[in-house]
Amino acid sequence: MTSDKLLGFQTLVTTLLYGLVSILLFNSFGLVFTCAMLLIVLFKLVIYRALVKGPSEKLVNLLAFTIILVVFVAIGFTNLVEMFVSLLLGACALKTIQAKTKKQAMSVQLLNFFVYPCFFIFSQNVLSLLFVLVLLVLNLAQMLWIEHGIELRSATRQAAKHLFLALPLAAIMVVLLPKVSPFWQLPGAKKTQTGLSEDIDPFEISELSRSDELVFRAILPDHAQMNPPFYWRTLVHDNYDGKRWRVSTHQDVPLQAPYRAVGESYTIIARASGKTWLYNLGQAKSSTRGVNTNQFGTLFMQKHLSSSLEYQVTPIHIAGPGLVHWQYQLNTALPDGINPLAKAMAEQWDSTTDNTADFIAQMKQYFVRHRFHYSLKPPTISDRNSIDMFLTETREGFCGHYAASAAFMLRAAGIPARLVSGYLGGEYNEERGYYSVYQYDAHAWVEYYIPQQGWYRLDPTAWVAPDRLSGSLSELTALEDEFKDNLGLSLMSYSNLALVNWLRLQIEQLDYQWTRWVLNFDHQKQSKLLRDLFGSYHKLLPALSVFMLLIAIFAARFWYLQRKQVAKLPEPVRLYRAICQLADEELYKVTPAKALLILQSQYPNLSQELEEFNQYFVKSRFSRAQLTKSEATRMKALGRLIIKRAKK
Amino acid sequence: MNKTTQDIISQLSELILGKEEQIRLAVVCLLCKGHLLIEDLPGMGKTTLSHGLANVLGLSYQRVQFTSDLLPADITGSSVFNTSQQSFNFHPGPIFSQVLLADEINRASPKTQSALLEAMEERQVTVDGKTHPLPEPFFVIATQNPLHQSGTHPLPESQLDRFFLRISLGYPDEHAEKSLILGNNLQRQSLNELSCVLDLTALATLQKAVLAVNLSDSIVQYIINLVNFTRYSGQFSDPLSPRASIALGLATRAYALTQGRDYALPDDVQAVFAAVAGHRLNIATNELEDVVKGVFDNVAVVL
Repeated sequence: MTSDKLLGFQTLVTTLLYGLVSILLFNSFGLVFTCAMLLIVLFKLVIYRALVKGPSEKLVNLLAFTIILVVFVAIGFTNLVEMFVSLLLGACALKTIQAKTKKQAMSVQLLNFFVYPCFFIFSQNVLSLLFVLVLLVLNLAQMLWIEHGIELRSATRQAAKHLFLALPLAAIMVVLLPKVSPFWQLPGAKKTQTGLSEDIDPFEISELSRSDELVFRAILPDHAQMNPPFYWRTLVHDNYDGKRWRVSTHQDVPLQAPYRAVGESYTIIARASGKTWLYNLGQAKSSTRGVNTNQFGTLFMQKHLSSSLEYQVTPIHIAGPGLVHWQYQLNTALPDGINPLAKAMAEQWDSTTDNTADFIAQMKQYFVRHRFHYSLKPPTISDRNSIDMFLTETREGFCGHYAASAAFMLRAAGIPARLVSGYLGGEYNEERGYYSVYQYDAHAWVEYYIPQQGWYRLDPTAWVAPDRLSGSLSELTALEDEFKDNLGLSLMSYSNLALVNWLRLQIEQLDYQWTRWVLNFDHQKQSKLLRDLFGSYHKLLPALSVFMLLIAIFAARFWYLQRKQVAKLPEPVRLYRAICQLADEELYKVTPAKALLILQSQYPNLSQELEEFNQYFVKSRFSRAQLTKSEATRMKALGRLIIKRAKK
Repeated sequence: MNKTTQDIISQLSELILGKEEQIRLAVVCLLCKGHLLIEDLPGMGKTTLSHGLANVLGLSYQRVQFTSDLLPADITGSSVFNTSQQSFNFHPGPIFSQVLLADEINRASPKTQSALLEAMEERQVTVDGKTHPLPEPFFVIATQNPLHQSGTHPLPESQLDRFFLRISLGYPDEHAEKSLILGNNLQRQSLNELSCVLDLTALATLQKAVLAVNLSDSIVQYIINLVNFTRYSGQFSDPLSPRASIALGLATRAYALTQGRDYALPDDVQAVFAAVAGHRLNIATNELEDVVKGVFDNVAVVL
């Protein structure tokens, strides 16, 4: 392979990796940019196969301009982070096409130390960590490959070894170095819409797009009175315009009313969502900084959740003054002239019952009697009177349909009602005792108000699919096929295979530990760990560790220099010096011939061997002729023999 | 080649008993085309050694006894008016020989010393504006008495430097002296019976062979370290010059050759060091041994 061709191949590897990265980040970059990246990869491949010549400077500039345009148009200024990362990725990819010299290729490899970790902006779970680690090892290996011509396979081994050696240092730095909060933080990447949304209009959705992406994990105290079903309240929708249930305008307003704590705290580790809302059971407050409670008793943050967050949750009871007039108005408001059938039905039930409980019983009876059917792929209803259609014709839907219909009928009967979206259930990890809640656990239900008593939860979906309450959706056998159809290709789809399921649970566990102990290893956890480890000295330790680390680095440096000098001595001299060490006197300044005499007088039984060794040594050091291979081996053997025997 | 040098040395050893090392150094000096200075008390065998050396090598030999009234013309020769030809004819002096023994050089006046040393360096003599080249090879063996003797003019340092080696024969050991008394050696009367082992071409080959001896990097470094020690340790008032370094390298090679090796050892350097450096460092012969040992103890052998 000519050097040009080899360099082409070396840079091709990088281009292919860029292609892989952009495919994996498809959700963040979108179709247009990913396609553009793949076109660049294709172009590079074509150049490598020598089907076309390498691009001229003009063409590369044109391509760069095109990429910038694509990024501006397809990603745009609203997603700043994505825009900059994609610009970086595109620029690097073009550079691999343009690179003609070793130096240019190396500059791309160096840039990769910035490009690859950008992956963490979009995903921080354990699999991404492994992926980025692999990328970095490959990058180091490629650098060895390009710069020193070490074959990629052995270069990879070497790079992996070095990375492995660096791990203890990294661990020490994580544990010991003081945690300083950053002066400036990159705004987190916005997540694409999966799971919850601010507006609910179930009738327009024909198929719930469900993913097995993790939303949060919850560590509940063992002996708590908390029992399933777990309704993780997240968003309250109280603003109904006849079509959509919009999220309340008070979602982001901190709670003013007094409250009292009821029950034990628990911990939730939320994944980066790019949203402000958080998750909790019932009504709750949090002692974690930056986490607030609103008047509905759900938690929210002031800024977007751009990285994993661990927060404490304490259940509370809000002692409100009851519904004030405008709240009552808002929670019973219905636009005129829509869904006349449902309205009529509700008014009829209302007239035949004297309390809310009876009304709800009537409603439940209706759903059960008419054999409503739970489905993840209901037919779309685009009619203006969508609830009428649903109640009388299609009678098939998922939680959103049931919740929206029930809330509508409650409001029609003059009962304050609102929609709540969140998550239901969660997968319990037996070993570690935590719940994992995934996007496919997303759920919607209803809350209604009884004067002097407060808000109550009502889940009409449970009437139709009572199994849904007992656990996570993934455990529901009746919907298994439908559910897995929706998931597409993911490990979850094959969870009935024991091995796959085991593997999935292992990765899940690893990820839990990773999130808990590395991503969320904050100042608090650090000082707790140090206190546990070192007792009362723990406060000195972070400061001390900095000095220790510096000293260690210097010591290592000096050791390395020392070692290098010893290594610089040729083998015969090292052996000779080792033998000279055997003498009682200092032979450092004596000529080999004199040293020989001294050694011979000290070890008369070795005089033959010493003499022979000296001959070889003198020949190897001073003669013009080199030692032959057998002579060199003989000398080494003699040296070792002398040292061994003399030490006896 | 080894045999030839060994032959010379053994022949001379029969003449001067128990002084093999000094004889070897004298041969080294000759192989390096240098001039030899022998410093000793009278009656130690200086003249015998130089005469024997000339005989063994088959070279023409002249001896000049230096006295305080010796004039430069007495060694270089002078122009004499030839009445029959009505012109000045040059009568070459004793310097026009292959081996010149300048006996007791420090007895002569500085003017005469200078004339000889100049001729040694230039290998030619200029008399009355006419240049006469000296024969090839040209080898001066000068002897001098230890400086404390009365009536001597010590050679200046710059002129001492012209001598490649300085050796000192010293007293013979008991065994050798016994043999001398009994007359077991050949001694003067049989000096002329020494067989000539070398002709001129063989000598030229030997001199060329010296340059072929391998001086490894470590040996060169050792020489440099030794020379630098005399320069920077502050123990010497007259440190070694680069000319001395060159001489040290050359002498080391020649010494290795006389030992029958085609590569030099640190031992060779140590063997010639006293002879090469002693007079250049301006150290009296009787102190030389201790000083050289001090140098070797301070400079590590480079391997």
